[in-house]
Amino acid sequence: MGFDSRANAKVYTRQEGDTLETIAERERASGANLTADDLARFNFGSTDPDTVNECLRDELGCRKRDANNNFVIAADDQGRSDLLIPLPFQRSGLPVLTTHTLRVKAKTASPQFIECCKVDGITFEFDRSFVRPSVVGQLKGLETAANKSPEAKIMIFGHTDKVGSETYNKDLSERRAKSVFAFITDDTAVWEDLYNRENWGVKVVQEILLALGHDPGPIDGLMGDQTRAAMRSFLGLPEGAAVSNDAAFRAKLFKAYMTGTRDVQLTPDRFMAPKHMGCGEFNPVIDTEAAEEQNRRVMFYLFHKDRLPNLPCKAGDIAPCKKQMTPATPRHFASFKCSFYDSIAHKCACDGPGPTPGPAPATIEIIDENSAVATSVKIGLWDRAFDSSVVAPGGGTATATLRNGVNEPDNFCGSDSRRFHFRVRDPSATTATVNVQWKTLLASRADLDSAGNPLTLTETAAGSKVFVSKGVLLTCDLNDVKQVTNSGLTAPASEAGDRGHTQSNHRTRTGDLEGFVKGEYTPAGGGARVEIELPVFARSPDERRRLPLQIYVIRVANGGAPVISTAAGSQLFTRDLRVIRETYERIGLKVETVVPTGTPAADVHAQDNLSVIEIDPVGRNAAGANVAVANPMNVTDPEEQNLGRLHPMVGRTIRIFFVGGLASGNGGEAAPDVDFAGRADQGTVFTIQTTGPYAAAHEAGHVLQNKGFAQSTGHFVPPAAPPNNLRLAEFQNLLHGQFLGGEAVTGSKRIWDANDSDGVNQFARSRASPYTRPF
Amino acid sequence: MTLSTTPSAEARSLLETLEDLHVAKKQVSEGFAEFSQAAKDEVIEHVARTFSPAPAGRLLARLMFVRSPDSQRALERALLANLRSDDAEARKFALYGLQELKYANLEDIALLSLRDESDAVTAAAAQILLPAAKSDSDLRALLTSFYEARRADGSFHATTSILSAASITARDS
Repeated sequence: MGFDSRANAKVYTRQEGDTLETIAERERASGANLTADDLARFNFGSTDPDTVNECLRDELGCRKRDANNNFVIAADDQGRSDLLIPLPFQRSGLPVLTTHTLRVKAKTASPQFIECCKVDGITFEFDRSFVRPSVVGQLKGLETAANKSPEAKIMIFGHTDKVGSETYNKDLSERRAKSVFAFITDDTAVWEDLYNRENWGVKVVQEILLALGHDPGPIDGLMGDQTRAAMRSFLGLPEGAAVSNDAAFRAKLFKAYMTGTRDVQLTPDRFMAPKHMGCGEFNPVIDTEAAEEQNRRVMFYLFHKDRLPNLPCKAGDIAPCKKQMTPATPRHFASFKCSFYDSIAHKCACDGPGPTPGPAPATIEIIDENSAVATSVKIGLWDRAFDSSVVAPGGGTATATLRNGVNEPDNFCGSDSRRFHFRVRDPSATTATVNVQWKTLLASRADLDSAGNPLTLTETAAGSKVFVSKGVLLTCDLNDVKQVTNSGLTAPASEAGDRGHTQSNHRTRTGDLEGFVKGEYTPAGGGARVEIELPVFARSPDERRRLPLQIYVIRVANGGAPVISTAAGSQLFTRDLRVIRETYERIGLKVETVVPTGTPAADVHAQDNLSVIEIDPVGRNAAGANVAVANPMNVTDPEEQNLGRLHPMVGRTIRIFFVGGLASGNGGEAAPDVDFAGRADQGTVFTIQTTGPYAAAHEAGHVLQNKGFAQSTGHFVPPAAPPNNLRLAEFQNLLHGQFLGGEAVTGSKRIWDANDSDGVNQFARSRASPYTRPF
Repeated sequence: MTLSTTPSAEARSLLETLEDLHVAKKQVSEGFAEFSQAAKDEVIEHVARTFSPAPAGRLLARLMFVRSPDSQRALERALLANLRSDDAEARKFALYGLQELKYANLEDIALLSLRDESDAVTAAAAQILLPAAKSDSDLRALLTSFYEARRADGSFHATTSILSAASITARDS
């Protein structure tokens, strides 16, 4: 059957509930020889059901569906073109007995949907549109897809979870889509606007600096010394140069972030108008009122340039969205309220159900203390672990209580700044809890600490299929890891209450600075086990640093024995050096020992890859002459200076001299707290083994933190009001002025990542010390 | 010198400084120059007259940096009174202090300290006795006996090392 040209076709008048079938049926009743396929082919160039549906949606503006999920026409639909009803081909006046060739111009349709990509919710902080560093892999996928299909045009859709009003979320979703578009097209002005509108603050600056390889210290949103140092490093300015987090600085920072290794090579002309749009909260992947991370996402759709969809959307207005929410009509994906979005998303493999609907596979991940997906973990700080320490009336022993309550805020694991949680999503799970096996690994991936499995994860909300563990911690000394932990579970759970290190639901593991933490989960519905493995401290950029030490032990006399034993297995190795190593491993510093070139082998003693050097009691005076140390058991100030001169530091390396005693009566001495400042022997520690297990680490702390005698005698005094509900226990701090007795959980060994009363952040200051090296 | 029963304000301030867990190295090397000699003498006299609380070892150590000829006798008394202190550091610094003051009967006192349970104290005693042991065979025999008795005890590492460095070792070695 041939039809006349489109110019001669008649225009269809919309009737509620019509389909191509009902229209054709009416035409046939009127004597026309017309089928639904004829209508489809004539108008849309295809009889493919998907293409027909797309054209009904895009050309006629359909939004309602029938029971088979096909679009039906509504009287008030507003499309961009009319449906034409073809008329039979009729031509009069053509000569007979002549061969005529009729050229039929058939309308053909390319597939509309080409590909899709997704930026997961993990890249967006709650209520923010800043694109986090982890987005790079996902946006590179978009670049690859676009390059593979040069005929494709990209459209960006932003989404939010349901927390907040519909109008607010519409705006937030548009900001997210716009933010991603700006990231792709290197538009720093848009980000500056969003920075101010959303109050991104110093935290975003720190995240970007870190991503660019300039370590700002803790991502705490505070403009501290280390952040300023990272800003100077980024700008290539010398130490001490003034820097300001102003718009000019941010323009450079944003540009570097957008164009560096994360650069996405796509120009604005690769996008279809209006380039980006926000769907607000109307199309959640998971239908929940909660702040569901999976619902916070940005989607990219690649459409054929000749078959671009006709968006019914309008920026800043939810009225068109509401119009798409046709009641009582089916959806490909029930939680998608917008008929238009549902119809484009149902071909998408990464949003909605995808082309092969079925239960999603189980996943396991580790989330940090802010519920953000972690890419690395750190050693616990125990910075909310202790109730305020007190000294008994009239002096005496300081006491502290370790908080080990059932509730997370009352639990040293559940409240630590460095805690982390395992999170499992398992659509096949039918119980309220699931179990994860967790352990730590050495650098070789051999098991380090696998005691006490499994760990119980509890469902976040009934039916959510998302399960999260209580906060767990990595530790780096035996006293800490063996500490009994409350499981955080409550009756009737059989494992409620305190759990020992080898029992299930114990919440600490020994971590190794060069190792990993691993979690394994076997889906409830069967299938392959899923695993997560993260490094202890980030590796790219590497958060870890090295702390080289030169360790000397003075002899009682020239050629004699040392004042303390240096034999393998002696307290020097098994306690003092181990404590130093554990102390600084907590903050990502790996202790190493340095033996200066030319040191006689007989003077060097080693164990566990740490070396010490025995030295005669001889120093060098200011005139350059060697002079004896009169009594290595009672070393004086000038003798300390002389020892420092004779045994210079290798590079910027802290030298630790173990002596028998100090004539000053001090328990240990170090620059700068004993006024070494300005002298050649900065970076020097004199320590006495009998002072206590934390003595040498404490003195090294003075050097690393460069805190002088004028500031609280160089020691730690907690701030009047610790931030973020931290419990910066005084006597548990490494730099407290008075050591507690022997090694213990409550020992004076902790380093806090917060300012003390003198404004010194021990964690940041130590890691930024010139005595540390890149890993 | 007229001594008061209760230290003056300046002396109390000096005493607090000397009792601090940590003092600045500069203060020590300059002999706590910010305080008057009168206050320093007063503090030494105060410590010499005070039985309780017993002074910490660090206080006795630092008294050496504030002494004067006028306070020499009081300082000796303060040090002697603490040779049996509960604090091993006090006992050690008492010995070293008396040695520095060239106390007349120092060797007798060092002998009394040889049975101390602190390695730091016995080390100080050994250091005091060693010069005399060069010419005193009985004393040398005593120190040798000490070495034999303590050499297997790692907690007397410093003392046995000091003796060994002076060639005082086990007779069977």
